[in-house]
Amino acid sequence: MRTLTFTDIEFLVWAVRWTLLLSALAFGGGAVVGITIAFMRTAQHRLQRYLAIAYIRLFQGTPLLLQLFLVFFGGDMIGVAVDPWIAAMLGLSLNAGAFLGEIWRGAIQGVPKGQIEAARSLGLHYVPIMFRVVLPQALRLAVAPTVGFLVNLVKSTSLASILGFVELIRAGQLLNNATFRPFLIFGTVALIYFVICWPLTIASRRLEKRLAQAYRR
Amino acid sequence: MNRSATASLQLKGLSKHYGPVAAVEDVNLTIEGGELVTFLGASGSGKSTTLFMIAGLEAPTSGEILLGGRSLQAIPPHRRNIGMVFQRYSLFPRMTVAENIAFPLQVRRLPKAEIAARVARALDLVQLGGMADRRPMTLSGGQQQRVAVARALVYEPPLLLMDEPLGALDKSLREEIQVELKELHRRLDVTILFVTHDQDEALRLSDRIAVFGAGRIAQFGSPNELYHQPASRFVAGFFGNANFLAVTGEVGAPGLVRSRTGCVLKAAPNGKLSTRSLRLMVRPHEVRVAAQTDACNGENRLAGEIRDLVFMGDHSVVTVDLPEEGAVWTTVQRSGSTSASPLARGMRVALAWPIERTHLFAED
Repeated sequence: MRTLTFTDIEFLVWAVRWTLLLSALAFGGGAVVGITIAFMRTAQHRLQRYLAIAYIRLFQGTPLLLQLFLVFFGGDMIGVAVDPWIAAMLGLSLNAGAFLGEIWRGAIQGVPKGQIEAARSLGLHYVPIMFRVVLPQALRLAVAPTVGFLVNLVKSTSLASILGFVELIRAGQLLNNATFRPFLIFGTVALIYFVICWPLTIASRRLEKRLAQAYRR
Repeated sequence: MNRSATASLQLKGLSKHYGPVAAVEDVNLTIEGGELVTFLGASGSGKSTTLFMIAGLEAPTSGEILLGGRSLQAIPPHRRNIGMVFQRYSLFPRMTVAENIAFPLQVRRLPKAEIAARVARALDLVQLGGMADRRPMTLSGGQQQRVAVARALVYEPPLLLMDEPLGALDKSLREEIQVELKELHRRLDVTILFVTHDQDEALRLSDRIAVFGAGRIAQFGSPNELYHQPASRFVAGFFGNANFLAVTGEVGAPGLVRSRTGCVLKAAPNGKLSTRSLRLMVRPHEVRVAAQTDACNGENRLAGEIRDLVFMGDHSVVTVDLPEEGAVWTTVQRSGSTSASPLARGMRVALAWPIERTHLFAED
């Protein structure tokens, strides 16, 4: 058992960067997949809808850990060495895409049908209706569940430690192995997660309020 | 507002099926340019579906829609240039009143100066001049309704469709807006198709009314025609109150019928009735309560007993039991109308009404 040094703290802070970066990239990748899935789920073409549903069922119905393993070790099976960082980002993005796709599909379908019919009767077709009428209203409905999912995603990055990727949890484990101070180290790690996630929740509430006020001015 | 020429509308054999269910079946209709026509019917009668097919928001299973003689078959809704006001107004909540009204003009890429001028004119037209910068959620139902009308009229469509637009308003406001709509129609000379399930609203607003039942048009005509010359028992029952009686047609004597008790009654001959099992119909205000000893004077009469009397100020509603006939009739008696003796519950009376006001329909 040894005392914590400044280097140890620096090591944890460095790991926080990786957690944040992985969260941001996974959310970005998930958003691209999610938008595609949401549009496919609300499309009139039956095949698109079925493909999107199959994708969602697959990723929501299997554990994230298993998905990360499949991406990481699946590369080896086809003769491609996948870096843990790439595997973590890809696995989390594909998983996030399924959840965000469903959240945003719900938000799009939460916009009253009459809004779309009104826009069509006033002279708009599908694409401008989506961008000028539906999505601005869907945004308001999507804020809370999207931020809720982002908070979960930040915490889910901890699973990347299984692949040997050093993010916050993995850094905590390594520090604990060196110092044997589990309560202090994992308490600090928990606090760091809280400090990352709590402001997101606050920001989400503020944004929701602001969007609601925009309707009432 | 300079309107584009008001267009006539023709529906030819229009049908809409959802699988085996026929929501609309073989609707044929011609609406003249500048008319205000109401589609009247109960929920599920096909009136809104027909309206949505005209707008292009529903695709017909078969049939044709012609606007100003031009088929709308291959024209998508955003190119039909038809105005539409929805039941829940469907204003865009993120936009101000002015932005909502300007929206269809921006879509049509009109110059900014013209958009501003048209929006101002439209706001004045619906008496909302000072509301341009408000958002829909801050407006009352009546104000939202006016914004929806302004938005639908601002691009000067030849045809305006209104899907139960006053349904969410309270009675007094609804009547106020009905008057405004009628005035607006007179001023703009636009063809308006108005959907409602409220017969009073239809009577107040319409030049002509199409009564829908089970996906078909039961009758199309002026309010006066529909009330005084209903084509079927369904229309008669839908329009105003009606007293019905099961009767049997006399063979070889058109217009002569017998009630269940064998009482002979007369009606205007109706050559279209091929069946002997009929329904006789009389409007309550055509029926007078008479003493059983009164002279006949070329009227039909039935004996009954007063079940209920409700005083309504300028008139009383009298409910009369016709037990032998298996019917209960209501009559409207003007207050102060001469009656030999005051009416009371349980009193035996005769119901009398003019032969020419007696309608006969085939048993449904």
